[in-house]
Amino acid sequence: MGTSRPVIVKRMPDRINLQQAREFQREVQPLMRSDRPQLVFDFSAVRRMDAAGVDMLLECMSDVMKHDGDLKLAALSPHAAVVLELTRADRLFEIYETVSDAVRSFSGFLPNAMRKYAEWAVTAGSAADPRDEAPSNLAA
Amino acid sequence: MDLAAIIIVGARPGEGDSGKNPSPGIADEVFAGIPIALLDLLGKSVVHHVADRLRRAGIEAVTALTGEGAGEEANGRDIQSQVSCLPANQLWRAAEEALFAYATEGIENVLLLRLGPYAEINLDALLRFHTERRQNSTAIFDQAGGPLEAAIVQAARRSDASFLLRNGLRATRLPSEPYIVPDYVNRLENARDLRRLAQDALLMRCDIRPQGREVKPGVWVGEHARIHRTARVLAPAFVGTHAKLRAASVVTRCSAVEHHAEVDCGTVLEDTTVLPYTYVGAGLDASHAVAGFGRLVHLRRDAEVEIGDARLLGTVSVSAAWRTLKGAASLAAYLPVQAVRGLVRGGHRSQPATAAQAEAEMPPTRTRPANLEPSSEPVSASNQGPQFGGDFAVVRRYGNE
Repeated sequence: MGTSRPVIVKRMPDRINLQQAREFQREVQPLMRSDRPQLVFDFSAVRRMDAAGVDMLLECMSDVMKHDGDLKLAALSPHAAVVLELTRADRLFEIYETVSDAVRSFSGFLPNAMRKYAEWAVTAGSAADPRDEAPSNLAA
Repeated sequence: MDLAAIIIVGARPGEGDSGKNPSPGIADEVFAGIPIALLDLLGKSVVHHVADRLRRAGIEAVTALTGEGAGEEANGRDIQSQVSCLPANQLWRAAEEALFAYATEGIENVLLLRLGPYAEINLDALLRFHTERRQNSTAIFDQAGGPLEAAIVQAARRSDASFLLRNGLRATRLPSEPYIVPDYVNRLENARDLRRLAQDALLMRCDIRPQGREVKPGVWVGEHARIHRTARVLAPAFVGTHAKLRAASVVTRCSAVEHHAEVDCGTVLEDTTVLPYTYVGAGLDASHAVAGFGRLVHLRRDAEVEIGDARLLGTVSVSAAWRTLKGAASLAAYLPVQAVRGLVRGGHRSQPATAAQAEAEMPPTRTRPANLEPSSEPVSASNQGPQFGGDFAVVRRYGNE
């Protein structure tokens, strides 16, 4: 099942402190207020991020959800990944290794976790019991 | 035991004059620019643990040499309190001089160690091995055949000692059989090794014992540690002296909170070392990490990141007076804010006195659920309470507001 709406990829600045976060949020505000926005934030350039950056992400997520859209994160730098994990924000977002993966995820029907499971099921074969070696993110 | 020991902390010969590494990174035996051997591990620095172990084995004369300022940066305490220390820019030259001083005092053998690697050497077995083979110097290796940068040398053999020191305790002047350490060895090359050493100590896999009282099996707590009654410390774990665990924090899976560290409300530490004087912010989830000095090494991701936001990872002041002053200032700032909030919001939320009043105050946009619509059928006497209607009882089910 595809979608005709555009997916907007936005590259995050290399430093996300309070000032940068506000500027970035101001930039993406019009995009988030469109009908059912589909956004991907590219974190590949992020070298430093603090709690203000996490706050900004949560606010963006909240805005996007209000408009029935979705916000996904991609290409997390080690610093961003550590900060998001430390603040437990990584559990709230769909995170992809590359931007193209994130963009592609909007065009599929299955959510990311389900797609991984489906891929695993195809490679493992139908005879195998899916509960034996399910991907770790599906274990719970 | 006619044996002295010299512990050299820091760079190998030729790598630098001081114990401080100029290029901090995840490897190279440094964390945030401080030699790992000087970082605290379950209440004491690794070099203290090694010196204590040597003293327990019967060596009275122990000299530790560190780079200038490295010890103070590491934990804010003077290493001289436990080990005689000769701060020196030229570590290896100072070691040579210390060795010659021991020789003039009449000490027969000197054990030379560079930290670097942590090895639990059986000194009796080493001394027996060294004397039985009548070697001037004996280098010490691990079971894999790697040098542990440790050796024992006859103090009177100056040329052998100088050769050993010039070669970083890796090679002897004359061919000799190396002593292989059969026991616990940890290379302490990076933060991952420091974490592994903490785990091994908490799981009793090595001789290092946590500095504190075992308040329950597998949980050690240092003196004056403050653990909130709602905080949970799950064995094996360590909480150092003057450390603070605030409400609802969780310390689990071989985690260690070193002295004067502070873990704020709701934070979970799992398989994590929090270094001394480190503040870990509220509501965080640190796992498989070593945190301190504004840095966090994530062991699973193999990444070291600098965290500049003091709300996430900060530093507690070393000075007790400054800490008290800061605490008083934050309290003084907190109370007026709460008072103003209280005044602005009002004392209590106003509650409607009656069900009819509540219904009248209900916003017009909110519609009643179908099952709460007043029934046209007469309510039986048994269901009708003395004061409230049936639908009001449903409202009350969700609280008193």
